[in-house]
Amino acid sequence: MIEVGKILQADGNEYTLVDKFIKDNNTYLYLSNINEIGDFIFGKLDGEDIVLLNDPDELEMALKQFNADLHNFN
Amino acid sequence: MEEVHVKEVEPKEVKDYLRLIAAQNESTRRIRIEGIKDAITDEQRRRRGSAIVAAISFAVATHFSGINPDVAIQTEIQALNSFEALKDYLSMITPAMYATMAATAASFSNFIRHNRAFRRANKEFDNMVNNEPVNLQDLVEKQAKTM
Repeated sequence: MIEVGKILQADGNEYTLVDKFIKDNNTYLYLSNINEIGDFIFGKLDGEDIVLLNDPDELEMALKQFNADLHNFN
Repeated sequence: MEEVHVKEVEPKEVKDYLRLIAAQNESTRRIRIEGIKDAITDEQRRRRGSAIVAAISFAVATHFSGINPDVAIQTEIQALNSFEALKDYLSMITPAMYATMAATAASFSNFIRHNRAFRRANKEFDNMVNNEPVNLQDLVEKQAKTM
């Protein structure tokens, strides 16, 4: 399992895992390209692959969860 | 009343929404994890820090979709200054990075806003149709009379 803060190689780039959560047996990932600020990936794990979220409802749900996680520092 | 609802389904908005969905579908939908780095250099650690700060700032900008992402990011970066662990990274955000972050956040804000409009329009359309169900009995009787 990938840990938050780890750097992973994918798609010829290097991304760091910013956040993750599990919902309905899916592991959602928020990745940020360490070489290109502003290149973010919102996806979910499928074996060794990351499937990018393209369903707007699912994407919005994930964004809200990531936002809640990342602003609960205490 | 229904006409007002129908007008809210502005063709341009629906078209923009569909264009965004199409763009998402056309993008790489699946990427393979090639490896996870156990040991990283100081340079990678530094870049990781700025990438995480950008990601945290971006998350709040998308959450507040509907407000100016530029303002949201600015507010967020000020707030992040209070977290010791992130202080060292904040100075790494250059104006160019800042502009990219704002542009990306704006794109996602539009995406979510259009999605909401699209869902609302769909719901209103369903309600409109359901409020005026087709009376099949009338249709049968009308057809019978014409024969």
